[in-house]
Amino acid sequence: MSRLLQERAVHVVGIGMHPYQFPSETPYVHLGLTAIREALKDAGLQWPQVQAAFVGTAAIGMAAGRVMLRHLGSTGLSVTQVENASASGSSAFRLACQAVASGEHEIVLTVGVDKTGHARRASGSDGLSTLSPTSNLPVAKFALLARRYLRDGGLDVEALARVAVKNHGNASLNPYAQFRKPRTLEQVLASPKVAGELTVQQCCPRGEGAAAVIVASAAAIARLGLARSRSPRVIASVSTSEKLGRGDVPPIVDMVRESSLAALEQAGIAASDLNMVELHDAFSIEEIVYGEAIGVSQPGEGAHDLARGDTAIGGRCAVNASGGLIGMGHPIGPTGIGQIAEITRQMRSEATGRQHPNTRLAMAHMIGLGSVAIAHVLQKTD
Amino acid sequence: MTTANLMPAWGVDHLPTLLAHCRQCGTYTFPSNAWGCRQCGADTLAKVPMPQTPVLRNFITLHGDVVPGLTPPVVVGEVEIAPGVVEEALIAVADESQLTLDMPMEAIGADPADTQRGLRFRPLEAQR
Ligand SMILES: [Zn+2]
Repeated sequence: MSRLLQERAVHVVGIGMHPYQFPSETPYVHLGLTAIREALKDAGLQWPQVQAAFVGTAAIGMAAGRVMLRHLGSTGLSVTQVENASASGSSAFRLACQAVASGEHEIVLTVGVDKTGHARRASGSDGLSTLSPTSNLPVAKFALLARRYLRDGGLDVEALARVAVKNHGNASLNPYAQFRKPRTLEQVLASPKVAGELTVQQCCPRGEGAAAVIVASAAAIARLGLARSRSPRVIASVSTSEKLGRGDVPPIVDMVRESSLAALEQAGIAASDLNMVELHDAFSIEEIVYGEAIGVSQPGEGAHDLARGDTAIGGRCAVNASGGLIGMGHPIGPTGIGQIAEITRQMRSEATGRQHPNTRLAMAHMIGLGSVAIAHVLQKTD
Repeated sequence: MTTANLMPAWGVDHLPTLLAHCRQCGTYTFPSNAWGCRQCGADTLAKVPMPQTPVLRNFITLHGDVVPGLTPPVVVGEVEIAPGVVEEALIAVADESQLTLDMPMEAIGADPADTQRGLRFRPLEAQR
């Protein structure tokens, strides 16, 4: 992929969302179609012009794509379902970019859609037992990581809680977010404890929703007269998985560091060039340690940068301007595609009420259970 | 929240064969019935006991009711059971005040009243 995206430009031409929400009786098809129709309208495209679709979902079940897409018309397009845990949507987006960058297709849809409650995990079927019933429980893993980070940095619990205050605040300004209420530091700290220092308001909610993004080649944009200036370019796409740890650095943090570094190298930029990052803050501690791993903050400086407002909207590099997983929500399949939609909206200066000024270079970074990492870098198009 | 793997498996009877030791590269893998060495992938693994006194590397208290059958509060630790093998484990103490970082631990069996807890750890007798 490293040369492909440089040789053949891939642009995001359309975005659409169904708001993330608490579990409901709404069929997934309605969620997905709402996002897709909004993305088609946004791009100024008709459904028959879409040549392929990659559907990111983790919990709906087999063959969710065509069941949903047939309601847009049976055009015979290529349909592929992608499951990669929390990174399902990001992986679907990556495949869509590859399909355009390779020259196979010119206009490709990627849609993430999910309902809660139906996912089964392979880790329960590997024939092995863990030492603790908490071993596959993310909140325990990240509470342990939080304890280590606070201890090593000599920090107090407020350092963590500020992530939730910022992201609930951003989400309160995002009409697609699951949580729409700003929270104070006192409220975050006083919400019920879940594990270690992590309180409920520092953990992402369960939910459902949909996000759609349409990517197109530069040739298609020119031929169809699409709005190039509203179409950020994808300049890096990287996919990695966890390796064994080295010493005291948790393997997941090493994975974030290596995957984001590879994406920055592919994009030909430095971390300090990024104006915006959307990342996997399922738990507050993740935003701080991943921000350092990506290079948004120097090692050990993440909590200080947050407290200073460097990662707020209007700061040096806005992190999770959407509200992130904690505030906007984490419906799994849509999450990574929602990140791309947010970055696109920001680069177009269309993020009314939560606009980060001068967003030119942004990274979307997602983690999936396992663990896997997917990183994309987008660049504003003039 | 997440449903964890509740298969009760590791008791004190399994301590002599808790880990896999790779005959190719010398890496330890948990558990001993793993399908291959986590470092090099070799399937020439020997079942061995813990090669060291287990050491507590980190710990928290689980406050939320997030694991079916596990009644909070519960202390969860990261225990180094072999060089490079740090596993989450239940710590059999009333609260965190009895714990310090890097303290030696010992493995004990499950609470007889709760078959789902498997192997647990507590501070080594001399440290208590
Ligand atoms: Zn080996």
